[in-house]
Amino acid sequence: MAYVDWKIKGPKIGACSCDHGCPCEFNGLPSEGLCEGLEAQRIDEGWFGDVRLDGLVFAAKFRWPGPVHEGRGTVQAVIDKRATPEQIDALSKILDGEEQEPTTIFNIYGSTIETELDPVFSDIDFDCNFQTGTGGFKVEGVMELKLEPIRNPVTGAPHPAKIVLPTGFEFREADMASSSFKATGGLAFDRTRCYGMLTYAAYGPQGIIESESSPAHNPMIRAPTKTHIDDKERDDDTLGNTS
Amino acid sequence: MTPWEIQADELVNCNCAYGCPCQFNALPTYGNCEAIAAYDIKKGHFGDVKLDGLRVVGTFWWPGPIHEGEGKAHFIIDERADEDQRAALLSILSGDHTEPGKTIWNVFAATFAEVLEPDFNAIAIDVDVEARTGKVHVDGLVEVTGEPIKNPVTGEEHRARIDLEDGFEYSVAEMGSASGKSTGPIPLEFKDSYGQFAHIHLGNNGIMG
Repeated sequence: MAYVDWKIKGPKIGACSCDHGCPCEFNGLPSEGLCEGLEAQRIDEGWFGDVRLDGLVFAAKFRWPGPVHEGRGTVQAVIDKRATPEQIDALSKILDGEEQEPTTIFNIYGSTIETELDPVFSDIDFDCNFQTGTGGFKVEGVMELKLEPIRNPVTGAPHPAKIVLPTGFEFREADMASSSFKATGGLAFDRTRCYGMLTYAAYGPQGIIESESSPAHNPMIRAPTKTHIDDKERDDDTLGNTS
Repeated sequence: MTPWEIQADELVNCNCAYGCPCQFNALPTYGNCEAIAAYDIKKGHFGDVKLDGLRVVGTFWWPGPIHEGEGKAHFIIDERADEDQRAALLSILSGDHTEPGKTIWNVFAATFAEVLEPDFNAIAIDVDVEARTGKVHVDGLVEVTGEPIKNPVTGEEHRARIDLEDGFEYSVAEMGSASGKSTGPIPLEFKDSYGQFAHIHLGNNGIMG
């Protein structure tokens, strides 16, 4: 099927109510039975047809009463208030799962959503640093996330860990972090020391774009990996922007 | 310190959920840790003593998270091992001849309140790390079966890996699902819980590859 040509690519951070490492990444059940959390992605390079999306940030908060795959979720999106009406329209289509396969992240998660709260248009203060394993984002009066390294409970030393999903639809490799986050309004929560992750992802009409979605092609990632991306595929200009 | 090195295929089954939060320094899914670990040594030595082809199974129980200690351990050593090999394996498994904190056995040793007398038995281990399948059998003592995790919606195999930069057991582990039973001195039973498949390569100073 022919879709409008589009792509969004850039650093993505997120957190949920699960333990560090989140069992759901392994098709386990969520640590506390339910799933609630938030995420944000900065578009370092993006377009939808003729509309450029570079530099925009979008975020969302969400809650499912049980495991995600059992549905009945609630979500609220936040769109960068700098977006023009054309950009808002383009981003909304992408996030709603239009102009893409049913197997993309937006359609898979979308199929589990029962209630969509009205989107918020706001500044999103976004930070993602793969080198220090820290990051976060803030939408004033709506939600806030802070990520820091997981630490060894005995020695306090940072514990660098990655989850690698060779066929993942959201990420192929993600750096694990410890999260603190809160949200107010229609979807409210307040949690500390939960699952957090930093990744670098590119999505298009066919789903995740593998060659551009692995932090392995980010020279700042030090952990050993088997899924090497050739140096020639590196996009250093883009990656230089990720902190 | 006697130089030693072990390259083994391992299958570990614990009581945690898939992905085991402990791999990320979180607390165990059900509050405590119970585990069966099986090692099929492909190549190894302890000083001049060859360890190639030998097998080891450990059963472990802690009342809480591993790092809070008070655990119990029981090792089953391949009955084909001669006296020197048995002593070598038990020494490595006790965390001796190891830089502190650098191997899982050294770390675990510090958390045991009790290490039971080892047994020497025939051990069958058939592990395929990449396929995430495995079987472990020790007559009358241990039974473990590992298989790929399945997607709860589509039933498709779910491939997932954990990479640890500063690990003391593995650098890369394939995640699976396992069911196991121990009827030895540390009775355990797991059904469709955490299964870990890895090629491990450890020595005096920890991970070697």
